[in-house]
Amino acid sequence: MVFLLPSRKFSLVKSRLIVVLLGLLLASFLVQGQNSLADSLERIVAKNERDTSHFRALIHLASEHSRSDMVRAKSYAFKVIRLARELNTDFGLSGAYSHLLTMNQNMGLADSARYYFNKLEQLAAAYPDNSEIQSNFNHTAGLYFKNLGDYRKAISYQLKGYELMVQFDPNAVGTAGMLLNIGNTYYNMGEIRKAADYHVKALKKFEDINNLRGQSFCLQSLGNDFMELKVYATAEQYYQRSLKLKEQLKDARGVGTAWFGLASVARAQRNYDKALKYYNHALDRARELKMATEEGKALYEIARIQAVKGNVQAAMNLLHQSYEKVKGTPDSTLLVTVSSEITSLQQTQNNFQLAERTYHSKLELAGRSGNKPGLVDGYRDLADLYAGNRQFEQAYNFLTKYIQLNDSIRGSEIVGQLKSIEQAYQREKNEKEIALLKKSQELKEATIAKQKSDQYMIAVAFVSAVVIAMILFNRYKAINKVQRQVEIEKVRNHIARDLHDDIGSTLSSINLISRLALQEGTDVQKYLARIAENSSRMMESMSDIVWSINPSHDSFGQVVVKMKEFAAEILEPRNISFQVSGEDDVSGIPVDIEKRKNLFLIFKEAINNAAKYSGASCVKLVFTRNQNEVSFAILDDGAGFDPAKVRLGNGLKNMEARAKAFNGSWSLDRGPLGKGTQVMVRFAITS
Amino acid sequence: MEISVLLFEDNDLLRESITSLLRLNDKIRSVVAYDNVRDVRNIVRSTAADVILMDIEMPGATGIEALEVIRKEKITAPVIMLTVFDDNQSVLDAIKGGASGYLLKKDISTKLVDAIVEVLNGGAPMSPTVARMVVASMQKSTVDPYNLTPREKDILTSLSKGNSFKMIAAEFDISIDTVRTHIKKIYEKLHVHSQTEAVSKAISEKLV
Repeated sequence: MVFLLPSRKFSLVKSRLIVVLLGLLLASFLVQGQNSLADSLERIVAKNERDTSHFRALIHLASEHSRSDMVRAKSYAFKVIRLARELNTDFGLSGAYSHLLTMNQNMGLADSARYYFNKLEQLAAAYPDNSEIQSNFNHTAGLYFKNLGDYRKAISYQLKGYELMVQFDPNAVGTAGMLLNIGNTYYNMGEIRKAADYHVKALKKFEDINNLRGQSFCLQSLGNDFMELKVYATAEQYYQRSLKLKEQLKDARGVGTAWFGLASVARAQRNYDKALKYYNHALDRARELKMATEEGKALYEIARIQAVKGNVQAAMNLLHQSYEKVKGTPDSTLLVTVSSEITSLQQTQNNFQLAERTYHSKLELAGRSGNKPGLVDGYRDLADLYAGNRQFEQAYNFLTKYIQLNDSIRGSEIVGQLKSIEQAYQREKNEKEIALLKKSQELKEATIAKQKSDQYMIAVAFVSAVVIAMILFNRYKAINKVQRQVEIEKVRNHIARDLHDDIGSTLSSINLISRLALQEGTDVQKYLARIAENSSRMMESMSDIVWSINPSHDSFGQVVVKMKEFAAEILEPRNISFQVSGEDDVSGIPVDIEKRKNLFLIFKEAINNAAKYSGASCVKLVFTRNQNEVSFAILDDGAGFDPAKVRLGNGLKNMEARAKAFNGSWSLDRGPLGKGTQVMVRFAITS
Repeated sequence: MEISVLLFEDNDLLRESITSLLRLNDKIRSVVAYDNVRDVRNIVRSTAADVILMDIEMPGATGIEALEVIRKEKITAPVIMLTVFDDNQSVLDAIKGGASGYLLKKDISTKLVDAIVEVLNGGAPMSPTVARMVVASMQKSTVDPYNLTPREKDILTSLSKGNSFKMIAAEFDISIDTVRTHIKKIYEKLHVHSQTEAVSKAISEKLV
């Protein structure tokens, strides 16, 4: 059972003492085995019988307390020496000296340790046959030298001690202890297999005699062995077992060592936070026990972790603290290790800072002078530097810059290189091609010559065929064209003639009349009226001709429209009503230029007559269609006419002529029921 | 009546004859005549005429282009186009371009003053030929470009068949005035059509 007291700084020391005392007190009640042994030993001492058992008891007590209370243990040892002096014997001295030697060494009191070594050596030399003394001496000397780091000396003493022990000392503890120490020395010499071998032997021995303390040491050592062999899981297991036992045994120093072991496993596994935790446990233990070496060691290890984590400043501090602690101890190895670590860290730090400064100024210079390759190298150097110092963000930044710039420079370099390579290749290719071409050309020329003659024949044949076809086609076209043109000419001529006739004669008559009018004494009004009439008629005529030659007026329907328009214009002002029927039946019938013109003109004449002479009040226009004939009739309800009296005036003559022109017929009759007049026009439908 | 007339006619004889004819008519107060339309914009702005007579074919620009200029100047005076033939696409274009009416040159001597008076009274003369052209242009597109009402379409169609206003009135049992009103409406719609056409043309030109 362990009491947990609240640790506050001011009562820390006090509480620790209380703990120790209480622990001892309680332990003496609660833990069986060895602690009841201490009781009985105390009783023996208390008896003060000054016999061997008295001595042994004292030694035992010293040994018991040597792990937890060295001051007390020392006092027991001094008691032995005093007793021996009093009794003027050397009995128990080897034991006392051994303990004192070991304790002093552990407490960093190198000179005292050396003193007791000498004392022990003298004693051993004085009693060469005393196996106990000899084994004590060898055992302790071995340990002493081992702790000094002189492994060669240590191993020789240890092996000797072991031999002796096996021979003379039935105390298995010693033997097992010896085996353990030998294993440790081999470990220090780097002969791990041998070390593990001895450690296992030792462990077995301790288990046989049920010595927990010994077991705990063996387990620790085995942990170390496996650490060295890098079998971390196993090492951790051993350390844990060792820790358990040591805690059970209240071996404060051992616990500290166990923590060291576990911490080293954690560090090896890169679990730095765990490692730090364990090292701090070890440090606490070491401080409790005022063990400078251990403290120094712990500080050193912690410093190393900090360095690994990149906390260089913290590491530096810790190293200095460690150095101060280890300075006073005889552990030269550790001292050297610490100081070299300090130096190297310093160096690294200095180096780093120096390197950083140098690289930055180089970079600046490169930037200012536009030295791109210099910049590229500078970036890379800084990236490496920061990476090495675990300043990864900085490293990354510079690396990125490096890559970007490098690509752009090397890129263009490479492109340039590629281009030149490409050009060289192209040139070569071209030369090859030219050679090839020359050859193929010669070949071609040969073939062409032959081909030419063949092709020539074919071409001639083909061309002549085409030419013939073209000629024939053109002739055909030409004929058509000519034909059509002849046709057009005909029509043109006709129209021209018409115009000329009609308009030409009208114009000349206007001319005549005007001259007449200019003469004196004539009826100017009359003549001017005639001119007005003629010119109007001429304009109408022209309009009609233009209408008739309009190609869109090619159906009878158009003619009907014009007829209606005209009729309305003439008749409506005279209040003559006007009716049309049957127009839809005949509207689609095609009529050519001549026909439509003539038809319309006939119509005009008829309407004019009806308007002027009939005195009608109503005019009807009737269109009929029977099979291939169209007829239209203009009926008025006028006075009619006397057929005998009608002379074929110009108008009627013209109607006659026009009807003939389109192979139609024309008739002038009385209206139905004998009333009025009817003009009938017939013509055949030509498709 | 005191009508002031602005005349654009490049044929010297015709121009002089028209001017004389009009001046002799007591309905006409004044006649100003030009033989080209190069400066039509300024002329039209500076002369306050009640009616404008415009030959369709003129040097410098066509009568239709001159018509465009006049309309741009927001001159509201009616414009009568003088043309030899009425079956010309130009006549329809002129109407769309904002002409209030047209007159065949062969009819000038007999119908000019009547036409001027009719147009000033809001009348809109249209011949079957022009009606036919309007109908034809409507048939070209699937959608009615002029937005005519069914009645207007009927009248237009009847007109295009050669029926006189009287005949159309008889056919639809309406008065001749109603027919004239319909024709006037059709005219206006042709104007609008031309305006929208002009606008869209302008826009598309700007966009292109």
